[in-house]
Amino acid sequence: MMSGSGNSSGAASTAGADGRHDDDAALTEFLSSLMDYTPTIPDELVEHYLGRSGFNCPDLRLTRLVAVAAQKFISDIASDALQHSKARVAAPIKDNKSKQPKDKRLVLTMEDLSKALREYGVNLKHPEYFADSPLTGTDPPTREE
Amino acid sequence: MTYGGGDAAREPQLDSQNTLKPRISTTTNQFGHAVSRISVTQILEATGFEHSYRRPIDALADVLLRYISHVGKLSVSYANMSGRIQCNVFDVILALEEIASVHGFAGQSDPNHSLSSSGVVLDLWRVVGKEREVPFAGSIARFPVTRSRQVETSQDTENEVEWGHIPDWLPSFPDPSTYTNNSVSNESSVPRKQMERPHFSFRKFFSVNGSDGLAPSGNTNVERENEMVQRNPYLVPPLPHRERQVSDMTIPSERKAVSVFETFAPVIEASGGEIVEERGVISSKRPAVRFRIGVGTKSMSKMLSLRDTGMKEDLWTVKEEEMDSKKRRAEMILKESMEKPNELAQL
Repeated sequence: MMSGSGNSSGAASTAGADGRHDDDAALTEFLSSLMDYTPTIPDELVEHYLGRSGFNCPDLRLTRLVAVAAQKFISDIASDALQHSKARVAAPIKDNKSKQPKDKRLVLTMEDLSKALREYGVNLKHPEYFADSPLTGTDPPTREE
Repeated sequence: MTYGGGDAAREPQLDSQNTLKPRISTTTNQFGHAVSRISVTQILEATGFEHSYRRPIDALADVLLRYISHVGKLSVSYANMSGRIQCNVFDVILALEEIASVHGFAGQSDPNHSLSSSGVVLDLWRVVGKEREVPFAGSIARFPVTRSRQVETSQDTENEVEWGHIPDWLPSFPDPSTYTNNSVSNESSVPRKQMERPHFSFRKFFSVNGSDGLAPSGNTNVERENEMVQRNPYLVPPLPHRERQVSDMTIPSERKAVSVFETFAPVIEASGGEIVEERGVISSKRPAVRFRIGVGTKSMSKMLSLRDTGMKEDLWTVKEEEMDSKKRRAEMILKESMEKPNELAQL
């Protein structure tokens, strides 16, 4: 699994070799630490979907690596959505005479999620209403036109 | 973490005829999607969300599965480009770098950066080392689970011999008693109704005609033939020579004078005997053809030379209207045969 160095340029300096050795050692240590850490995403799920893509590797450490990467990806999106949700809650209220205070619950909505996903290149469009006829959503005067 | 209801618009339950497909379309993905939904919910809870709607969680679960598939596909492509079919840790790191290149990671601008100490790996190391470990809630088995094939143990296959060359997934052979000539086994195993319905028993027919190796009958060939004769006249064997007396065939020679009148005697009688009898010898000389137009008969394209035959011309014109069409035809055939002996076959 650790065949050769990961340096794409292939620099052959002695300092580079030492550095590479350190890098490899760090990577080895990281991979071994993966076995102690249990990611939130189960290994069986990751193995199944990796297998569907053609990923063939009996090493469990690689599966854990992908699981940890996926967990980090989702957690990054969730934290971005949380930021959007907090910004919405903290926005000043137009109507100061509202009876109830602004809801301070942190709820994940489609709007926040789509904003967060847009930065990662995922386009998530949520239909605003369910249209069962072509005239749904139009104003009455425009319908006559 | 509470799992609230849907958004303002409910998730539509669509039919198969509609163009839009439901989020969980196939049954094969349902289990994986459900498991990923649980994982996503746990990650959201660890991030800090207290509540959520159903649809964002479904969307995130779908994104997670797509991410895993995408990483796998990219890793495989990097491995294939290096001439390998099994993925390496560096293939996975390259794939993660490619996905993270959209958002950016530390050291991305350096083309000579080491993969082992890539920014992606360092980020992951931070996750493993520092963040609180949240294991998956519950445990799941390896999936998809292959269902073990249930071997049919019906009564028909109880006594079946296991053939080495015949695969198991083929249907079993029929009951041997249905195609053997053993009368005892027939009555016991096969229901009588099915056997008594057809008038012609195929089983007996085939067994008589020789079912090799399947019918251990004690009949000899003679007995079998006798049975065949009784059943099917078309399968009777040919008679030996001189067993049945048959009259000899007399083949007339070509040189003999053919008596046309003897051949067409019934025709002459039908016409009423109005034709004058003439000599039996047919002349070889071709008569001249005379046409008479506008007589009103059906076919008068050929007129025979009445002079050679000696018949009266008036016979045609005088008694034409009185005679039947059949009689006229008979006369014509007669005359043609007399004039042209070579064309007798046509008549």
